[in-house]
Amino acid sequence: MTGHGEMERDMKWRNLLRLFPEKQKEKWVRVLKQADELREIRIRIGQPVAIVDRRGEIFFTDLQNSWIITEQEINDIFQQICGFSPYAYEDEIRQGFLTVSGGHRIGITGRTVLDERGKIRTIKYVQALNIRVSHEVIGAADEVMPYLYDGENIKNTLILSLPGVGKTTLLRDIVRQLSDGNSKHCGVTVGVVDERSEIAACHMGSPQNDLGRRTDVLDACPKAIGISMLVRAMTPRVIAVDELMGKEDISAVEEAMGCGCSIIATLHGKDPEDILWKFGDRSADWIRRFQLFIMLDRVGNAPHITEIRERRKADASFDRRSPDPWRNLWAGHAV
Amino acid sequence: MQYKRENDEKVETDRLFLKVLHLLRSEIAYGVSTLPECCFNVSNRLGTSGEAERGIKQALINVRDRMKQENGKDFGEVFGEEINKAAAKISVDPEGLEIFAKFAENKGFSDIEAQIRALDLCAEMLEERIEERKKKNGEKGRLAVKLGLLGGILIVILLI
Repeated sequence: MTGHGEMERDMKWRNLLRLFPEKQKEKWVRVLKQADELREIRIRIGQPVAIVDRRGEIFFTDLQNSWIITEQEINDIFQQICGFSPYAYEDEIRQGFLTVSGGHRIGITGRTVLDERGKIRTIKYVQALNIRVSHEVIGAADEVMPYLYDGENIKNTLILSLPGVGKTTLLRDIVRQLSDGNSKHCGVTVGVVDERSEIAACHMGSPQNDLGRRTDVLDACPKAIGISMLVRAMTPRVIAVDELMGKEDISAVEEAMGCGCSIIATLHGKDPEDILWKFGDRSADWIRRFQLFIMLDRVGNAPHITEIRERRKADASFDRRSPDPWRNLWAGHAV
Repeated sequence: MQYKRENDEKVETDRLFLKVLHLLRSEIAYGVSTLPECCFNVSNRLGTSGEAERGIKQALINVRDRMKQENGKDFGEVFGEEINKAAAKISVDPEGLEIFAKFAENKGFSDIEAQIRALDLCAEMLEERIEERKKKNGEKGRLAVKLGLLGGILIVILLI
């Protein structure tokens, strides 16, 4: 087991080390050696390298390991990450992140360049990079899977948590398990609209994460467009999307539900009350169509499913003025 | 004759470099692939008829493979090494080669237009070089023919 664990770590290291220029490799090996279940590497000009791992945030400031990042160093890393072709990642850079081989996601900040319509054209003078190490957790959804099935149907499900808690990790494993099936349920065709390349972590079109054998991924496609495309082209039983945001996303989700597809989606927010705050009264109409709510939180440094709420009846009324507007809509299953 | 043949070969190699640059341009503009991927895609479009074409094709494949395996190496460095290795086996115009290799030094543009413009600049320089070389070849070729004729006449006069 130890040997296997070491091998797995070596693979991860190799994947990570390829992000850095050859002349910096030695230093990075030293940094990575000190990480314990690495989650993030934070690189900022003029600041010491920081890593976030199981123990929290660690800055490399002590005399032995001190490493202050220079402008040249960050530029070299950026070029290496982009395969010396930042133009090929123009769309991703515009959104402030890019996904690389191995499924790692790299956030970029710097000076934004706007076009004549005021939209971001690119980011120049890269100031900081945040390498979010991909951590596919096989089995993360084991706990919630029994709640997802309603006979052979799959419930419309909304996963809620604050950013960085593990919504996407949970969604990814739900997709994998729905797609592959289990001893009780057959696998179903799942369509994933992966707008930010976080679920499948596609690199040059190929998913870096295991999403199951019946999953079709539409990578880097806006959710509103992607959902209708999938419904028309791939006839999925389930559509999975990450981070529902605006009106368009909601309309597309409603449309897909109307076509008989089940939706598994994530949303930023602590609990359903946050959705009210975010989307206002109109949220009541579409939220009623979801049957299952999964709420996550971080306990210590680990993600934890705090609550699973299930809708009690389809025609439940919703009254925002009541002290607990959700009471009529949901019945809670404490986990 | 030997001189003329060698020069013609060099012009042909420059033309091959130009062809590769044009293919790279379309790969960048329409495929929006990274430079190592562009090299590989272009290699698929090159034939295997001549020694030069075979050599450059293999060099471009090697560039992509090395960029995949030898993580952390600079693209310009790898491209330069592979192209020089291939050029050592074929008849090549050193200046044409230098212009061609320059394309890999002009990398890292955030804007696709800027990357294409940098490539176009190399292609323009290479086109000028080919024209210049062709003109020079013509002049030197004529001079060689004239010198040959004069030499022949001289030998005839001496024999008489």
